[in-house]
Amino acid sequence: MLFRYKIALLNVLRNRRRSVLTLLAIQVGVISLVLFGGFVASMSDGMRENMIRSELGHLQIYKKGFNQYGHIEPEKYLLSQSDLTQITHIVEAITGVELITPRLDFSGLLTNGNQSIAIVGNGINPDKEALLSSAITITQGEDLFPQDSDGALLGQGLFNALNTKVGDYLTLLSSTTDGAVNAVDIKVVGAINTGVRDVDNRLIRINLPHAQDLQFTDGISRLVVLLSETDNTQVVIKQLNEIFEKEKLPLEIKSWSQLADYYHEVVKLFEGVFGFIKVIVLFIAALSIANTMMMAVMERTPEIGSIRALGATRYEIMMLFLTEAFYLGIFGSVLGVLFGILLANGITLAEFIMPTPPGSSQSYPIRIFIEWPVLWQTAITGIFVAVIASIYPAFKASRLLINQAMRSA
Amino acid sequence: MEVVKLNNISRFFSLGNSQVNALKNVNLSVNKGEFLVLKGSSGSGKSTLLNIIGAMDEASTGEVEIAGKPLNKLSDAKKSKIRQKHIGFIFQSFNLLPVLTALENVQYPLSLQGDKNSKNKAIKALAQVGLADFIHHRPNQLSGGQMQRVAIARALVTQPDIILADEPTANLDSVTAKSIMELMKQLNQQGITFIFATHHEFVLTQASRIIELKDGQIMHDKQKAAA
Repeated sequence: MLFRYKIALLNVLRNRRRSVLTLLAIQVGVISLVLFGGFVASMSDGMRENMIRSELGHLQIYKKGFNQYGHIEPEKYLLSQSDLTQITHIVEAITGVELITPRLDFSGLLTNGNQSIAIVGNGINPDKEALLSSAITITQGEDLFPQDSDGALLGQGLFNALNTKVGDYLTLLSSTTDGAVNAVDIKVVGAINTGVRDVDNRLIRINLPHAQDLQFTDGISRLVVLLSETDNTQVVIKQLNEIFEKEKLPLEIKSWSQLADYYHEVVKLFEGVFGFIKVIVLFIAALSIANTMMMAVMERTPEIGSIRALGATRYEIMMLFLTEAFYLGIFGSVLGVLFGILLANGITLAEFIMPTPPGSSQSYPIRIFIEWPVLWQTAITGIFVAVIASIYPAFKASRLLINQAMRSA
Repeated sequence: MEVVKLNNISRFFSLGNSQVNALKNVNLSVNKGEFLVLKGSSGSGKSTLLNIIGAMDEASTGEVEIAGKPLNKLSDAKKSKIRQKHIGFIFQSFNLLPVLTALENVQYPLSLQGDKNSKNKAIKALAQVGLADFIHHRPNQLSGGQMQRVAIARALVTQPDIILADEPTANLDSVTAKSIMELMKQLNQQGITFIFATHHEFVLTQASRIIELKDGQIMHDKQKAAA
């Protein structure tokens, strides 16, 4: 048994050119998967954090039934000022919570006198929102402040579509919570970029009291909570649900994941593309490995005959070649992972700018994440492919007729 | 005691549309301790007969018994076990594994049997063939004669019932060939059965029995007094 491992290792070292060719095939496959896997992980991570830190927060708290019936009877499903105080007190006591901020949602029309555009808007607390929405960039003008009582931030697309300027006054028309129509004047203080073009084409942000005036209410639609770690989201939700239940508060919580359908669709698409590329890369690597292993079998045919003559079974011959493939798989995968890490860091440091993705309004530099699950899964896949690709050559070797194999010397 | 028993064996090969009869109705019985030589011109069937006795080829018809065990209906794995335990091989081209040292080459057949004392046995076998000082040499660091001695040590280390040698001296100079033959003769005197296929005159003079093959048939089977 030990001899098998020794012979296999010595055979790997014996024909260096062939082993290098096989190692290259494995390494190229592993490097490609490490880079592409890291790229997909960085894209997903970037998109997730962008959504959390521009709009969604890590979790949102609503009055129970808001998401189901809030659009029919909005006034019934708003959180009151006392709710706001009580919930804020509870949430801020939880470890890992960075901030909690209220929002009042509305929709309506924004007009410059010549043109009206349908909008979705948020009444916000600008101080807290500035911390929560760190992924939002001000493209023109300046940020919204609490003292800008009639100030408004417009999405870049909306800003362009209305052909407006910073300092212009526009009219915002919306229905109140009890169904009446109301209008307020807003002063454009700046344009913002959320990173999502569709959002930028319709978004308006105003101070919360201004939105409450527009809607004839002192309530809020939801509380948005930002955590220090995205991974803690479920833990915090569990804790809050337990507290809300204990305090008998009729509230419901949604995580960023439940609110980010677009994110899940894109991640699914990325994973599909990654899976497809993975299959192609591994198939090419497997073909190359099978080819070089077949060459090894042909080169060593007389030797295989001798080993069989000495009493080695077909199984022993198969295992001998599969052990060689296993060694090549390990060496190739480890080297591939190491080179993959180096290349990933190099590419990330080089900050190559990617073209703007569809649906996005921002370009960004390529980042490639070094993720341990991607690394070890890829390394194991490399070893697995090396062994699987060698099954046919090993089988052929085990089936050689002893006397014919020895005669081929 | 019979170590080899062939009962009416034939071996046919297909060559395109025609059939080549490598062996025809061969009957042979070899007793323990014989020093038997198969002689005959090229194509007479010597190697085919050795391959069949060595469980490396199958007879098309007839029955083969090695050390009392019938080979005919055995699986490949069981035939491998027969080769491991009952048969030693010495080849014309030595057929040592180039990546292993002399010691490891001799250990290898024992390792296939899972023998835990393989190192000591291999050292002893190498000492027996006069290579105690060369155990850590690889085949490419040994002369032809030394390589054949390693092959002999490898063949006898498992204490087989028979050692089959196919032209064992063909790749050696006459002096080395003579010393190798003397070594095998000594081993034979210790009770090991040898079956050779050879043209070498010196080997023929050492044989206790000479079988002449022609066109796949035994023409003469001559028993000699030990030389």
